[in-house]
Amino acid sequence: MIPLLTLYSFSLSAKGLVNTFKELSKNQKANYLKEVQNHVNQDFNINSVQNIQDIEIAPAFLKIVMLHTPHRYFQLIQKDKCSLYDLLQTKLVKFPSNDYKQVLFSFKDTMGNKQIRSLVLSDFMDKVAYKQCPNVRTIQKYFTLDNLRSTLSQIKLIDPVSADSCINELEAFNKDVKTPYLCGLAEEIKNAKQVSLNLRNSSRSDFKKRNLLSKDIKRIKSLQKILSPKALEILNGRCDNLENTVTYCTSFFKKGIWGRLLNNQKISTLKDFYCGKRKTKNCIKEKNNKEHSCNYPNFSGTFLAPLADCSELSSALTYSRFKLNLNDCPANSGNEALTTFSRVLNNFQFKNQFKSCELNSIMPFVNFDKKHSDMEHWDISLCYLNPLLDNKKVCMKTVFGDVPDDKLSLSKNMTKILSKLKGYSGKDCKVLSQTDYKPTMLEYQNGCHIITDKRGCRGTTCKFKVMLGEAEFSKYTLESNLRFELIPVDFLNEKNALIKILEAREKKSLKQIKNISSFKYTFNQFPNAIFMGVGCLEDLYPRFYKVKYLNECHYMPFLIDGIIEDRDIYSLTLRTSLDHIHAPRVVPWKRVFNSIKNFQKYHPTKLWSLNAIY
Amino acid sequence: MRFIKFILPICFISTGYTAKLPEFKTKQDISKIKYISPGGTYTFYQKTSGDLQQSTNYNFKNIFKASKNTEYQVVGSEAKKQVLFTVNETALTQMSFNKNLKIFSVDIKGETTPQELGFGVDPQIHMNDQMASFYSPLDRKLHIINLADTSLKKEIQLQSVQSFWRPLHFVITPNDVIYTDINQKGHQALLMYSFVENSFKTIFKASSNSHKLEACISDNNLMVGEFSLTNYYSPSRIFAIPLYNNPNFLKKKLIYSNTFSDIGQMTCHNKSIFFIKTVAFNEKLNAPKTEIVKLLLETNKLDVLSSNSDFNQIIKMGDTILTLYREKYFLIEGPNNLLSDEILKDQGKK
Repeated sequence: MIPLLTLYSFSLSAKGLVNTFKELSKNQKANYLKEVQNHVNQDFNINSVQNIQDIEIAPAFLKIVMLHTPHRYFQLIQKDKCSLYDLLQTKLVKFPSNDYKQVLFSFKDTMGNKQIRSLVLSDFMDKVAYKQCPNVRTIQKYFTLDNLRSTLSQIKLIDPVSADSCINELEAFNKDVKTPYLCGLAEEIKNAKQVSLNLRNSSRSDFKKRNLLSKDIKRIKSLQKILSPKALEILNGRCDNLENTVTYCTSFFKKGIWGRLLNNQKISTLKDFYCGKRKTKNCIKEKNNKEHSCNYPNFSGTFLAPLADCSELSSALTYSRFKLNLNDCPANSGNEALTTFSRVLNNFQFKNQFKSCELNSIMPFVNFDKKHSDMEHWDISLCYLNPLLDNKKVCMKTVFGDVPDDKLSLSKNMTKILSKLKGYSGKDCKVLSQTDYKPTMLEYQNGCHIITDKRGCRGTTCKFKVMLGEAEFSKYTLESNLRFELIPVDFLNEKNALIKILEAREKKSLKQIKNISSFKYTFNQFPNAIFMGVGCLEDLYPRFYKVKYLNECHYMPFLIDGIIEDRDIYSLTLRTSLDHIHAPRVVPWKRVFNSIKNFQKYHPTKLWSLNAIY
Repeated sequence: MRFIKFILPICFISTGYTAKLPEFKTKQDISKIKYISPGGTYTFYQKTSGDLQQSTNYNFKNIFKASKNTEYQVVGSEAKKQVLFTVNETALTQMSFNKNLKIFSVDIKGETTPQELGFGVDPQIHMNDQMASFYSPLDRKLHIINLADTSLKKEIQLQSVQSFWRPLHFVITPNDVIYTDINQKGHQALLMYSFVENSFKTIFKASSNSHKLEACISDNNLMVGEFSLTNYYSPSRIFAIPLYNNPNFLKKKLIYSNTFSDIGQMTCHNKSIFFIKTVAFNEKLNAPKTEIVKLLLETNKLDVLSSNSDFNQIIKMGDTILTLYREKYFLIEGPNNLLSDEILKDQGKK
């Protein structure tokens, strides 16, 4: 009981110590070193201890490490003595000197006499800590480099979704036995620069030290590979605020997104979109001071503009849980269901970003269709009449755009046709725009070139001509009949709707959301859940779109990934398929509800279209 | 009260009058009705089978046949001569905002075969049903067609680069079109194109690229509204601009202003403008409270017509002004005989 009581009483008296901090620090270091010197050379044998559980950390040791250890970590040791050992294990407890890590402790020997000893930290852990608290060694194994990836996969490290849930999450984090280990990892990575500096400044003859520092650097690099920048950011946020739960959580939601653009690799595409090549600091300053500076960022006309003002965007993006790791350009995909469904797929199984933004809305869908429906839904084909098969029409499913390694690419399929009909055996056809095509130049007079019109290919349509050398080749047809059901249209074909395939084949859970209570519960219960619906565009965005005809409704798929509350009234962070992926809008729940309700009125089976996907 | 800022009605003359709007009821399922002509004589509605039908005096005619789940939009005018309609056969399986739809005209009695006018969206009928206009979003062109001779087609190429923006368009003479366009920086302008001179004049420019322009015609005046698309703390203004004897459209009169941003949805009818006014705003939730108001042009008196605080749309159908809340339509202004006739007939049948 002594360590626990000692710690408790010490923490109570901690405020008093602050007043005479310097003096105390000096005195206690001297006392500690004196005590250590008195006992360091005395042997310690576990067999000489009357009862292992009675071994106690010496108050002098506790006092000295408390002066050097960040105060926030003492939040983690108020449970029992084992939690102190967790902190020692994870190096969160700081010693007066890194080269002299002695732990002072007391015990009763077999004769009942009180003894004090000092052991080097590693020996203390082996001889005392692991024996008193075997779980310390067990937990530690989960955080070795070999096991870390698997351990982290089971820990939810996501941005808080509301101030209330943030406080609850941080309180649970404070009590979690894994927390010292997670904060230990964050500290190790935070110290990376210092370790490199120490290595650079160390004497070349001090092989032992250099070897240790090199090992540390190697380990930090491995940790950085395992722990994503976003996870690290969240971990640092939590570990740095163990004592400031409420302040941290409220300021997180007040600060907004712009300040977080600095040094956050995870949202670098967001930074690129809003700041382009400008200096991030200047850009952030502008976003914080000029509301309208967010209305037309990087504007190409391929998404709904103007975007919301900076404060609304900041609020929407702060509350948003959508993964912001790619760009898209909704108008170029040419199909709203495709845009939203690909965003859902990218959110759950992001693979890579394509150079052409429309492919980020096409390829996830195409790959999903290939995997689950044998390309049944992707009905865009390049066709030709094959003379070897009695001029039978042969069609090949085709994707426009720059997907050079994909068998479906326009370039590969056109090359195949040329090979069959013209015996062409050169390189794959090159796709380029009319403005880039210079027929007078030698390089364009040989080989195959697919020349698109000025606007280039869109995801689902493409106007082009084919030049084989200097002659135009036109013995092909492009057949496009891209029709599919994002949500079920009738009962008979329900299972063919994309959302149903996602549920059945990709084992994603779908839950119909009919009211805000259900939304809120599901949102809090499933941290990875996003919400997809189809509604009337005019109800969602009345400022942009006026209803001109009786019962006019533009069916518009949308995604929701955040909720904002004010005295039991709610708004949601929402992206329609017309919005850029980085430009959500804050939309009151009642508008979302009206939009879905009106869509339901026109749907053949009166389907309620809002679902949580998780 | 931190986030709620009540907006005082800032108008030249204003009243606090509010009233509940009556629900607009029809004998048929209203979700299937696409147009009711003034006086309720002709009703156009879509069948689940995919057909567009017209009914009058308990008789019906097939206007157009298409596949199951086809969606139609129908527009007519107070002239009651012709209607225009769009056909969307793939509304649920090919969700594309910019998809060009087939546009037809047909006489309101349904006695002639529908005539195909072209491909586009947002058809409008003008000038006593003599002229039609529609927009083609893929090539960003306005098409103007003389309904007496549909081979007389004209087009205006817009500057817009915005894929999801839609222009307003009014044909005021067979050779003059008023329309909105938007430049590369997002500034909207109201323009008048003359096919005689093959040139356009600027009538009004939006004050910033986050403002939208709305317009409607009342007598010989163009009513132009400017409303913010992004910020509820941005002012709203409505101007009256004489269409004639107004060289370069320099004469304009401010007839309404509000320190805060209204939703808009301006609709001119019977010497009044109906629009949605923002009366309060919760900043955190980006949630305005709105009311339907009527600005009487002769007196500049502003009447608040609703008491729901949640309306977002105003729809003009012939001589009837409606609004929508959840699944229900409410009558803002117009003859009540649409409602009473149907109900009376219905009761008479029983």
